[in-house]
Amino acid sequence: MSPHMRVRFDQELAALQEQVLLLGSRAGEAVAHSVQALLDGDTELAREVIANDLVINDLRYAIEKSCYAMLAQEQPVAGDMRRIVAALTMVNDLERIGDHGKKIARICLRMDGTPRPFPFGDVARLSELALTMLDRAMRSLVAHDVVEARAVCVADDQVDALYKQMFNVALSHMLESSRAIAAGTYLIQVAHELERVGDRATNVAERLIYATTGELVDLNI
Amino acid sequence: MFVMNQSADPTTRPHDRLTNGGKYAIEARGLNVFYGAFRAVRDFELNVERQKITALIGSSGCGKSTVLRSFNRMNELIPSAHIRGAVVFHGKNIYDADVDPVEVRRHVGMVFQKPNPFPKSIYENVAWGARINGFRGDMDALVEGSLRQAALWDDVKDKLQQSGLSLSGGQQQRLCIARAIAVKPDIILMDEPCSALDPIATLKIEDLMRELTKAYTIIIVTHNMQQASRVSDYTAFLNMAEDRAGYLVEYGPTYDLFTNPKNKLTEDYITGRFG
Repeated sequence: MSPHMRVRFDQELAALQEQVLLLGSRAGEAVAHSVQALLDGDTELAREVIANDLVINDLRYAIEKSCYAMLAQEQPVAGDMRRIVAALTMVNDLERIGDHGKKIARICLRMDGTPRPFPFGDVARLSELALTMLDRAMRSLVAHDVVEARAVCVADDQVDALYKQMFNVALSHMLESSRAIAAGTYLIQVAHELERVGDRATNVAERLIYATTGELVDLNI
Repeated sequence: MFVMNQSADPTTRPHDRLTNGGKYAIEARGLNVFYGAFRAVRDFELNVERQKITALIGSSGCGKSTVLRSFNRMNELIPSAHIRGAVVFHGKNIYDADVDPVEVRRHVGMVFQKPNPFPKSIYENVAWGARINGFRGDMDALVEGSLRQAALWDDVKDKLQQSGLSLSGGQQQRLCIARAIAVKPDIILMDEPCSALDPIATLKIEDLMRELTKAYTIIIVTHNMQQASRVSDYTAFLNMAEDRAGYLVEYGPTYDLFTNPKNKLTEDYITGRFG
């Protein structure tokens, strides 16, 4: 067998994975910081999250561009092709996770001064669950671990259950008192954004499974 | 001996050969090809799907062209060549003692890497094969039909008496294809048919290949991975073993082979990790 060829292409694929992981990290930070800003009423932190969304978007497009270049110039097939097209789908979901963080930050700004007649504690719990899913999806990408990727969707059931619980709690508060309507509405919106983070983490895991095995799966069942 | 209508006249043979026995266009069974004592191909098995394009890929020396030539007994033109095993066409092993290799080559035509039209007129290039096979019908219609099928008629209809050698490389190759299909084969073998052509001519030949599968089965040897993935329905990957005999590593639908090959050797070859 000839010596290993396509060294430069392999380096480009390795760099692609690093960039996708970086995007996942930035997107996760956006969500974590926005939730912190919301819970602390920290409008300055919320504005930072909103401003940093531009960096996330730029990184997404830079990754896309490098994928297009590799597709055009390297004519990848088989595993190489699967890794690149999976990355194209993943960066879309990761960038959207960043958007969910931005939306929570905007809710924080809108809530500034709004009374909170009931606790928002479950927001932290829901955020932790969703971000753990994202973290597991990213770790499965590093290790090309299909078992870990499949496990991501299991946690999605907990996320969905907690979201529904938060929705019902907010609804009951709003029905009890009209003073709770504003806060309750915002809480539902925040819970919805975090529930979507969980869905998107599952999407990333699905694409990791495709990249590794060639199997297209739907874990969002 | 291969079709119910055994007439030598190509235009009277039924155009649709699907009724003439066998699920596959041609089958290699335990095929071993030797050049003297040297085994060039080992235990090759392949069922070629009808009216599809099957590509044979692999590194240099892995036996692709040897396998291709086995499908119409062209290896016999090499004095030391002999085979073990069988190539089954319409239920008959073409290497049986009672099989005429010339008859085989009428049913299984071949187009070569370097276009090789006869030093004759464009018309005669197409008509000659049919004529020596006893064709007695409307030769003008046969020539026009073959040239149309080869997507060459519009280029040459006003200069049929000009030499075939006056055409461009891509046109010469299409003339060779017209020549092959004038005798109404079942199968057309193509040994790197585009490697001597420019990119535009290559794409025209590839388009033509897809058109030809409406009537013919095509087996193509190519070194061009992109061509194999663009044009073929099925792909067979051969590799050279340590004893330098070629063997089949993997065979399947081209989509499967190029998106998710089962064998790591296949993956390494088609992704250019070895060659």
